[in-house]
Amino acid sequence: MIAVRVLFFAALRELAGASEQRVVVPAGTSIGGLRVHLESEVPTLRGRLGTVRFACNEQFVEDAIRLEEDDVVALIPPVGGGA
Amino acid sequence: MTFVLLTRAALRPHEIVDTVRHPSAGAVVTFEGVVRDHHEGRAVTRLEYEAYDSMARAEMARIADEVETSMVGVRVACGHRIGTLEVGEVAVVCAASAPHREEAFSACRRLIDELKHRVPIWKREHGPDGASWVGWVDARCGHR
Repeated sequence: MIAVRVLFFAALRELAGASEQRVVVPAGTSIGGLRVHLESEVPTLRGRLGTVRFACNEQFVEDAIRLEEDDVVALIPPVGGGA
Repeated sequence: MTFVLLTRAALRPHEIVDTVRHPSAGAVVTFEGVVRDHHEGRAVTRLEYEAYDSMARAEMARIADEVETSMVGVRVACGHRIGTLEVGEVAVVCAASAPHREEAFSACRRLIDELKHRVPIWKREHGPDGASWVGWVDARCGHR
């Protein structure tokens, strides 16, 4: 098993009720696997991650990327920079 | 060295624009994004910006590097404010310089377009009907 730090921002932070959470998943789990895991383990996120992009260690990543111990994964809901 | 700024303090556009000026830049284009009093037919009284600070700075720098690398002679800079902004306050400033105006306009446009699409900054719109996260379609119907 590996542990990663998951960060929640904006609407997702409010839904999750926390700005971050330590999540333990099987070694070899991908970003896509983490997406499925979060939707099933965090009831308030169920069905809510469809439009959410994932970043790992401050870079956007594809679902196929595999997680490593201590990765920092951020859930990025639709961004709204600018005015 | 590209100038990128993420701050809670009021933006001073000229400080950002001055970083792209140099002797062979005959054109300097600036874009300011300003908080307006309406959005999609609703009145807006203020906007509250939140960022994933470290990644936002990194992504702004990556975008600036991409624009400078792909357009010869172009230099760009950008600044974004976070926190609570009132109508009329400047939320974002993008600046681009180039030998001639065509590249400068094009670089500035590309900078703001990429920034709005990629930089992890979110805004919550406040108005007479309450508050909601812009772009988050579930915000108004969920958890009431």
